[in-house]
Amino acid sequence: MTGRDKRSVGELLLESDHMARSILMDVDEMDAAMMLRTWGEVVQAAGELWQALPPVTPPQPLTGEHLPDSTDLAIQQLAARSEAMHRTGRGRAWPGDGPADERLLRIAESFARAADLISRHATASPPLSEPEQRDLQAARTRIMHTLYIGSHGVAVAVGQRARELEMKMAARGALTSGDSLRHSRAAHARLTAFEQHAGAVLKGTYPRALAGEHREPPAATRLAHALASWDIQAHRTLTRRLNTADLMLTARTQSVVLAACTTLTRVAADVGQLDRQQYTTRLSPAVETSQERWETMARLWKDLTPPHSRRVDTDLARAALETRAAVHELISDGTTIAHASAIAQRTDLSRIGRLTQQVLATNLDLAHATHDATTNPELTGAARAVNALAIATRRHDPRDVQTRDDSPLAAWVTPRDLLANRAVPLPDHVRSSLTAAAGSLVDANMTAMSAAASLDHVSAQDSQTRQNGEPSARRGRALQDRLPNSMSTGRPASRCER
Amino acid sequence: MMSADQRPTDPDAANSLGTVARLLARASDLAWDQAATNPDPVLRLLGLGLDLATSQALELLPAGTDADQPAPAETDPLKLLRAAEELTRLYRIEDFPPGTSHLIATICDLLNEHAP
Repeated sequence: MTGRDKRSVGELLLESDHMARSILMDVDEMDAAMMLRTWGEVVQAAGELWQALPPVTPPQPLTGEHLPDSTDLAIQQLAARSEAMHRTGRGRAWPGDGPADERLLRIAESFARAADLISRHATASPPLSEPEQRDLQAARTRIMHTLYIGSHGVAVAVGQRARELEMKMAARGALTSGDSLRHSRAAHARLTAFEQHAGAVLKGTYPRALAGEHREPPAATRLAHALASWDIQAHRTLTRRLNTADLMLTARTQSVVLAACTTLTRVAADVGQLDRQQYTTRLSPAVETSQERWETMARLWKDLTPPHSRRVDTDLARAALETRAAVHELISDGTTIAHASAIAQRTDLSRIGRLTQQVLATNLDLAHATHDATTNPELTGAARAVNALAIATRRHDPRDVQTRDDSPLAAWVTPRDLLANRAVPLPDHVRSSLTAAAGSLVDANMTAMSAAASLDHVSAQDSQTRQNGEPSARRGRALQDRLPNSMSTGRPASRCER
Repeated sequence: MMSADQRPTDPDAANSLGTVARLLARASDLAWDQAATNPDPVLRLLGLGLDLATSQALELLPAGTDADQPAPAETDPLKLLRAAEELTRLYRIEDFPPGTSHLIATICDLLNEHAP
């Protein structure tokens, strides 16, 4: 650091935060090895800065010593984890020696500069005033926040590298010198654990599952697990509480799941894992109609959700988040849909038929749960949407005696409710129109499920073809080829690592 | 208590977080409106991501916070998402309620995934 740097501790910490965010936003363009090499320096500098801060706990009566509080212990744990990770990584081919990441280096420098400023101006055992104590807490929060955002960025970059290596290995059967899938996976797992720990500190809750380090399951299993958890949680939430925001999120998540289903089945049909004729004539149109109906329901639920009640059930949101992440990982490449060959490398296409059947069975069940919600007398809706629907549905019924010249003879919603757009009970004919829309959803999903039933025969035919000695060269990778070593034998497989 | 900072949330920062929630909610509505005429699955992933970010923002605010009004005039979901991120920079992280870091990470992830 030069003597010309006039920034305050607060400014240095703010810059570190902004730098960590910019890394996260550009993480696709960054070099995982460079980031991993530099990350240890960031954590070390953060630990030293933390040490330079005055203690937050009162001195012990006899010794005058300050015991660490739980956040002090957390930063010590994080620093120890990081140091251990870098010690194990030393001397390995990956990330190996090489240039450092400039932005992470600047964060480390800012932390070091801040530590230096504090050390030079600190007085011995100062009794801190209340504003000083607030500043101290603020500095601790900023350091932890930067570590959290930064570790997330490094974990994303390293995770992407691990996926690239998985694909490379699937394509070539071996990795070249300097590439280590095992080390990438291990680094990713440790960074994820670090991120969880820092995140838990910031949330004010102690991390629950840090004893064993987090391991990212293979993509296909991740999607299957995410969908199973989504199925369970959506049913739990929809039976526990009746809320249009939850119904909207359910419908939109189903739309994403079905969009993924369309993409995956198309790729599977392209490589001969599903019967193309069945896919084109039955499955694809049925799944697309089902998706359209979910989106129609989602629009209705969105309109019926009062602006003050848009918050969704936390558990439902968490399950939707994981489902979205699993789908994104599998079918996206940046801002576009991944090429079929990339999707084939990421997942076991021979399992797509069965997965589709499970998805469409869940789909139908959730459609029934949605239908049940529309018939529940406790269901309410935002006053303006209820009024608009009431007018629209009456207008389309020429036999209705309560409408004359397209105008209602009586108001369905009070002006006060309309003004506040608060939740109001549904008039019968509005409820009927909702139930009818949910009925169409159920019908579409029944058709989709029965279309998927034919996939069984295709799978059987396919396996028969394989037994007859005509394996397709473009089937995607077999499941055992994609399992990480730790999940198969616990030891590196031959040709897996150098 | 594990939280690094127990200071009360700055009212201006909380207000700004309310605007972040509205920007995200509007961005989500616009993304799903576009999805109605565009079959691209990526648009749906963006819409759902924005829904979940909106929900995360609302979790940090008092129950009953209005996520719709006043609606921003901008009609590009990604510009709204970027505006939401920029708004979170106006205040220091410790001025926001605990948990805001997670929201910021979510917003940055969405920008990384969807903003070219």
